[in-house]
Amino acid sequence: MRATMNPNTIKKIVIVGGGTAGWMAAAALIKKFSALNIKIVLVESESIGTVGVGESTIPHIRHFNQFLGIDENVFVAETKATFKLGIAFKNWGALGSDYIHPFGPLGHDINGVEFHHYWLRMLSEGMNYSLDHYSFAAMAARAGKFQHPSSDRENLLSTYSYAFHFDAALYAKYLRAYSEVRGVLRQEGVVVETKLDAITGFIQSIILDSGLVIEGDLFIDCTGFKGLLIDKVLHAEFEDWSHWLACDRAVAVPCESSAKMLTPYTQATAHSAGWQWRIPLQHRTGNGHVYASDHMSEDEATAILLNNLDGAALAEPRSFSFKAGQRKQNWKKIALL
Amino acid sequence: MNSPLKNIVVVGGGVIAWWAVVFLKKSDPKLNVTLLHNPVEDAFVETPEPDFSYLLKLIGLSSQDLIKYADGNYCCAQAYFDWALDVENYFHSADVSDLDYDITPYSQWLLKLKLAKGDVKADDYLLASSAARVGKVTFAENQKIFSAGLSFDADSFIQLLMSCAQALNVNVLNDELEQVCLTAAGEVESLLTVTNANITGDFFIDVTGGDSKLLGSGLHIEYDSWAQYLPCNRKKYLKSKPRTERLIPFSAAQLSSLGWVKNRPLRTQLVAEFIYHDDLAYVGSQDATLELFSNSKAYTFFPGARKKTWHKNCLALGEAAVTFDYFSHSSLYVAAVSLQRFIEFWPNSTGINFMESEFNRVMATEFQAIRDFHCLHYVLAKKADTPFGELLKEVKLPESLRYRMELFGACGGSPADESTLIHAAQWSNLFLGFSFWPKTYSGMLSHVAIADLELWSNKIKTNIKSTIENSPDYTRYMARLISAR
Repeated sequence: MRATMNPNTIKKIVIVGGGTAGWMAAAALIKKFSALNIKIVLVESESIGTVGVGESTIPHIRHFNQFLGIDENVFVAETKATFKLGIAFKNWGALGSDYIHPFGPLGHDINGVEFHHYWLRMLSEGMNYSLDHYSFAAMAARAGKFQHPSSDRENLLSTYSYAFHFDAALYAKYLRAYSEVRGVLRQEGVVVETKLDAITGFIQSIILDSGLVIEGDLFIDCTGFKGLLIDKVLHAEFEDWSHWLACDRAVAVPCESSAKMLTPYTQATAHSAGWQWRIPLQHRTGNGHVYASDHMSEDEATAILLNNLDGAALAEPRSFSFKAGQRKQNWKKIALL
Repeated sequence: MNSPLKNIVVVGGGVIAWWAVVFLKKSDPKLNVTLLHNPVEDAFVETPEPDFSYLLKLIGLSSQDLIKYADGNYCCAQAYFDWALDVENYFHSADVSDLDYDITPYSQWLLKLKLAKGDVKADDYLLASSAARVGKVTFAENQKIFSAGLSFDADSFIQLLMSCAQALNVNVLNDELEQVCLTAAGEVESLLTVTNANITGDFFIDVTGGDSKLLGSGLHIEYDSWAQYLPCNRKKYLKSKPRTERLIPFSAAQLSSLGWVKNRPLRTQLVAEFIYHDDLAYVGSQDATLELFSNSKAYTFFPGARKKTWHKNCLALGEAAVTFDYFSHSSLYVAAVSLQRFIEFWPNSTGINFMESEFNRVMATEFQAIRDFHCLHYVLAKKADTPFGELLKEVKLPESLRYRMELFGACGGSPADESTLIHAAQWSNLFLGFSFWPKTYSGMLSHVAIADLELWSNKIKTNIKSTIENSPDYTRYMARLISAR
């Protein structure tokens, strides 16, 4: 048996689409492959805007930043980030209900029996205490407090994790600088054509509006809902999940914030045909209303959103549509979504 | 069933039945636990692997108790002598040390090194294996890296468990099960014995061995045979005095012309186990191993698993539930884990069947992983020109194992699976130990110079060497352990 590396080893990776996804991919790949001498090109266009949502994260984002070697303080300053201990769901189960999903456990096992059994038993005896009381992260979030977790496992302060709210455009900008300094080549342009290998069906090259031809061994599709390569070119089938996840439109608007409204959690408030997010950043609060267009008009959704802001809107509301689901293949021949 | 479970009846005997009654009582002292004691033919020696001590702790015992009172002896590795093609010996351990080069797994960089430098030995990089090989003990200092198995005499352990059961007020009835009486809903209502006693209970645990008198004969849950994957069906035991005063912290397996032999050293005796198929060792056949075991009783076993091991108000443990060969994961260990899981799913009042299907799904996943792990031993064993070699050629690959071998064989990959009893590291240790190498290594290594990998591998070996040098001698360590109490 002889093991060899394929002579067709990947030498050049082409990322199509900027935004957070594109620049996160570029940053991770240039970091990981620094020793491999792999060329990385990112194609994006100023003329195509980014959605700019996805500003509220879960704790894994910290692992990602750590992998890149990004200093947390620099990251927080550069992206106008705030800390997040969980998500508050308002009016979700029922009108008036208010539950915080904390980044940490609720209670803990006793004698090998999970906490929720004890809680249910107490409930059956008429002791209806809020679950929040059993989570450090939830209680701190409610009190509007934050500190970094302790690494001492005996300490109660070790029982939670945290994530960030940040400005997605600033994060993309930051990662762009990070990537370019390490050798990622940014190419301005719009993809107008794609060439496939006649035999293998692999993507061989893309052609930009300027006529520039960019060849590559691996293409990463970060073109968002469009799926420029994976869908339009390679036709990876999309599995529609809209019968489970009915929302298909969103309208987003930033508003003024004040230090008083800086909460260490994301808020998700249920409305009649969807829900509204509230993401407090240092310089503004991000808001959006996700709804099912079968059950609500855009005007109605926008009106609800604008009626439920902390402060004055800072821009015109932007709306966009999406479809819940997944590509049956995320890796097809040589394009990743 | 409108009240919480209160009366539990365990039927059977042997180490698993005694374990079950003690474990149940320890979990909830308010339970009424009855053992309808029907002795079953039992394992002479048990080697629960890899870590039995946390389960022992749950019933208030420790590894030290077993060392002292049940002739216990640590088992830090399993040695395979002349087992796989081109591998003189391999010391397998459940060592999960982080041997990644950057993020490239051990199997990948070792392959690159092997291709460049020729011979590499997979177990040179496993601390547990290397220490066991030279009779040193490192586990006390390195419990996070691996946990040692423990071999002990099953009969002595039963004596220990019996005294625990007595102290815990377990009702023990020495009577033979005659008939399982069912309700109209198909649950077990009571058990009738040969002396006409009628034993009622809320929940019944079947530890009646391969006969499975409750779940099998009583409730008609079928048994899936794994004979095509695990080809042996007989075992014999042989006890002897150890040849030296030095204690051996590993067990050893060797192929023979009619089957294979496993040597399990206890603290004061050696136990050899001969595992074979009855067709090969027919009366009158001539063979040195057969000759050696000629005075030993042959125990029959049938590898396989019941389609479900929890049905309505009955749970099966031991061979009533599942039977493997004897490479790793002893039947006591698997039964103890099953029982612990069952208690996690402990039904309350009306919801008795609520978690049944999830329990069965989870356990089937575990059983399948162990079956595949054992089957792999046969798949990668040398097919010598012997009756057993011929039998091994007939072994079929379970689909799940075929996929795993393809994935590892291609690039050292491992499917993300749900089994908690066998870790990815154990699989890749065994693959490499038996010289089943991936075809290619990761592209992430293409830029790494061989000299760097050599440096890296030497660093690991040097670390292991110095750790072992600074570790106590196993025989002396055990002597201290025994005199300490």
